[in-house]
Amino acid sequence: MGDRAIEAHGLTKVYTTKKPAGKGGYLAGIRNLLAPQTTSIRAVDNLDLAIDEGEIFGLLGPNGAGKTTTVKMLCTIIEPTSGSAKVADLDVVKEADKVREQIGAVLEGERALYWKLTGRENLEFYSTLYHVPPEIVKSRVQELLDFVGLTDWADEAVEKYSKGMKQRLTIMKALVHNPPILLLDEPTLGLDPVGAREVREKIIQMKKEGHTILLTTHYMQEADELCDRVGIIDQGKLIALGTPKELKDGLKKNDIIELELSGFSEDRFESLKSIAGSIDWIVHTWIDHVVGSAYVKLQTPDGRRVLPDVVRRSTELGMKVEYVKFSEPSLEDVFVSLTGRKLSEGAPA
Amino acid sequence: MRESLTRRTLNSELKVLLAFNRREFINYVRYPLNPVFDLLMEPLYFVNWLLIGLFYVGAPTSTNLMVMAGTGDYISYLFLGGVLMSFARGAVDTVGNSLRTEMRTGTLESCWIAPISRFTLLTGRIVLNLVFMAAFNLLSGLLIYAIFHPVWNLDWTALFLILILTLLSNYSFGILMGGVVVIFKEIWSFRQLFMSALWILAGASFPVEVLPAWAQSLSRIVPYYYSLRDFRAVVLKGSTLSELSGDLLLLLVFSSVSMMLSYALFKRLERIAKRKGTLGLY
Repeated sequence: MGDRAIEAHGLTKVYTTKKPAGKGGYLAGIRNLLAPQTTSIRAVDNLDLAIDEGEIFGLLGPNGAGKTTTVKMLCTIIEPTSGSAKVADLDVVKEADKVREQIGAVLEGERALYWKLTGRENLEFYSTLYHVPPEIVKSRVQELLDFVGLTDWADEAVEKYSKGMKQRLTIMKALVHNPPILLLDEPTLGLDPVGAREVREKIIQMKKEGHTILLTTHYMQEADELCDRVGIIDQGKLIALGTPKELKDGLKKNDIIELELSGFSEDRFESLKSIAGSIDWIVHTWIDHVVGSAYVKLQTPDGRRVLPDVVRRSTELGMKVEYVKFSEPSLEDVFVSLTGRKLSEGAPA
Repeated sequence: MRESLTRRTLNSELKVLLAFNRREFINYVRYPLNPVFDLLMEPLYFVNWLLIGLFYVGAPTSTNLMVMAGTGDYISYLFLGGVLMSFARGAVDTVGNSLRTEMRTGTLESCWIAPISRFTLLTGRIVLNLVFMAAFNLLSGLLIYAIFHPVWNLDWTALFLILILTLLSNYSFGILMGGVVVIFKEIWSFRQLFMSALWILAGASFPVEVLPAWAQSLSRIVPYYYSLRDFRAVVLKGSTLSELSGDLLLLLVFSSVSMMLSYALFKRLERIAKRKGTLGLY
């Protein structure tokens, strides 16, 4: 095996779906049944990837960007429409069976577990499914339970576990056969901050143990914290690739200014946006609807010149600048500058 | 690069089969009412059915049946039909319904990405199902024997051989049902249609001679027709294996061919689902 753990060239997945019957009542429904209209959705579009052994690579993108489809193609459960992909130097279509021996995957989160079985029984079951030699199954399972701090809960039914515990166990399920490559699809989705932090700690430990990890996320901080390199994916296309630092440095030619405005309203904000100068208004988040307080972020090549105008104009519009901060760009800022949308907005319809 | 612990051998593949059955058993008994209901349901179902027959016929033998099937013992005739049909139902449920259940709970994708053969994945639960079916049918048989005192010739070797050949064709249909589930995410309609047609065409509850000629022709290509005919011949008429060798050979050929065809068709349907991206989705 070379020094690439995962490689993809021109990987493409096009889904063909039936269009809904639309208006026209039963007749339209029957017509659609007899001669269905179809539409094509390009979920992954000509994706090139090269992930090195031992790195954590993050696919960052909004919901519907094509992250899960990519992971499922690498897992061998979705066949690409065109292009090719290799995992551990094995073709995901022609050598699917062998690929499965080399990967561990978390796809469905806690739903991948049998809730009536205990944590230990789940791991023993999956160890057998992955052909772990019987003489080491018990010790391997105990090692994994210790690793995620679930030893005290090992003999309780999974249905009694918290969401975070289930997720940690799910990741251990993917590790039973000690695979060189881990594919983690949104491993912290739906977890509370403590649970998410525990999972992230385990991911870092797994990297230290030599696993190559491909993780998908739409949490920019997670990608920033965990990943050696990040690929930003939007509408199935890879639109940026690099280390988090490289991607953020690309934005450093601009100043990022954070403002907290009181007396905020959408109308006033629209008027504020018409202020002269090259300003890219990035994000605004309501802090408090009652008092009209909001958090606003802008990027501009010349922050020091623009800021006094922003403060003056805000005051004229009846808003008050409560707080100002020059900040470093985040991966979210990178995504917004590339697509014009926030990560949380999802893919355009 | 780390080395995977996976060591795949024929022995480890067999252990996967056992693991599926162990998991099913644990799951089954952790819903404590499951065994209680199942133990009661099957025997009660049979007894209820036979009591209805007894009421309408008025005696434990039927002259109509004697003319058409060479035995008037309709109680045993119905019971033996029910036994083989329960195994047929079990095969469809074990493969098709198990896949559907795992799709619904979300565990199917995790099994699907494990390095196990598709055949193992599909047939992984049959041992447990067969044990349960055998136990329930045995219990029903004891109950019927105690109530109706039928005269049975229990040539276990012959019965076992017929059952094995029947099971092969059962599971080939079960595998086909697995393919149906993978594509349509549904099984009950197909299962009901299949089982209803089978009850009629195989002659599970009456001799196929009562059917119109065209339907009788269809019966001749249903393997269960031969299974039932032989099963009943052994128990009710004392037929020997050599007398039944023609039917058994036919069953063997049919089971082998249908198993290969079903598995090939399943693989084709799996490929379609992988292309559509719907494998494991519910």
